[in-house]
Amino acid sequence: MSSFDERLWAELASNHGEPLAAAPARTRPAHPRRGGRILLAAGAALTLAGGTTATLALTAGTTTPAFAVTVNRDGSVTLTLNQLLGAKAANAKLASLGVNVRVVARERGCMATATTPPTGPRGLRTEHRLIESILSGNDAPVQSGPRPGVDTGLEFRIRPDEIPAADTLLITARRVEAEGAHGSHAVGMSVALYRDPAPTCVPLG
Amino acid sequence: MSQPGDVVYSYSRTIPSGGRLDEFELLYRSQVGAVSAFFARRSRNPQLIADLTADTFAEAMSSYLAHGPAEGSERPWLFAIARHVYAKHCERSSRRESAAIREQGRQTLAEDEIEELAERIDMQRSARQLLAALASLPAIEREAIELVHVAGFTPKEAAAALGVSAGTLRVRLFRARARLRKESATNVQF
Repeated sequence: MSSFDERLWAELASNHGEPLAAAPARTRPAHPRRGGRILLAAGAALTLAGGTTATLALTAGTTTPAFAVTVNRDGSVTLTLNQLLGAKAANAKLASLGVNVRVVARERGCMATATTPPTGPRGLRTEHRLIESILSGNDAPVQSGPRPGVDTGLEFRIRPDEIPAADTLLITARRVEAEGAHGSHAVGMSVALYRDPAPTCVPLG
Repeated sequence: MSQPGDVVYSYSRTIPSGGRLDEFELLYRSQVGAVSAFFARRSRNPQLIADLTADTFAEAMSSYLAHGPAEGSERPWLFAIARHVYAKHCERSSRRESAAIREQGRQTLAEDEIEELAERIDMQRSARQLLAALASLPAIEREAIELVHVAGFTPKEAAAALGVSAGTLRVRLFRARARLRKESATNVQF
């Protein structure tokens, strides 16, 4: 499917999918269930030199690398995330490129002192409008969605020149097993800007 | 003033899955190209095609549980919704409400999405010419020809999509073909 088709499905499933997801399946779908897909977005990014394109596989010896980082001709950076393992290698590569983006775990045992995303009066509803507003333009600092043409993974297109100098963009990931009424799986993810020094993990809750 | 470690911006959204949403996703993936092509035969505006395609599937999702299709009749059911969505759009356009409504909350297409939809519009060029050549036919005959000869529906599926009996559809098709044969201006062979 094209990127339009994928983006539209993400929008439809997100906005209208809950009642259908909650209804018992009539028949088993013909394709194996993937682990849940997530639409992510956030506002921020930093600067990369050069106009060359290079794809840097971050793991070796497997047919599908856990992560890949692509420096695009327009200076944006595409982070492809296939697995939740291997974030350390991805972060090392991002750091070597000078990209202030890190993938960290959102986990119960995390002792980092960073605060969790705000949920008060300036919580998700406000943030939601803000991000939708950002995403409505072609110059969105960060765009992401399912990888076109494949059933797994996510792609993040980052504009490094828009990440504030004193901040790091954290992509936080949490694996959710058998969540939901019908054994559906999901990967809970979020994107947030943190003031440096950014935490190396984010506590659950 | 934010402190080190403070979140200064965040957002997350999880797309649901499972249940009958998986079933619908299969329908979406198999038909989204055909539905957008249906609208590309009616408009050369990528944003409008995107909006009408989104409206069609949104409406389909809303009624899927209560008024969903019988097994095997998913495609005509979906195209009946697409026809309804397009008819509503035409009504709004005639009342000049469309633009204002469209501006409410829809995502603007990214450049690559515009390119993709522009390709679909190009691919439907000959079909648009055919539909223009059929302008003199009654709407139902025109749509019967479109669904059977352009979209590849069986007559039974086309009948279901148009909300007529299979017999009526066959008669309409026969009449449409006869009229077209008489019109030397069309080069289309049926």
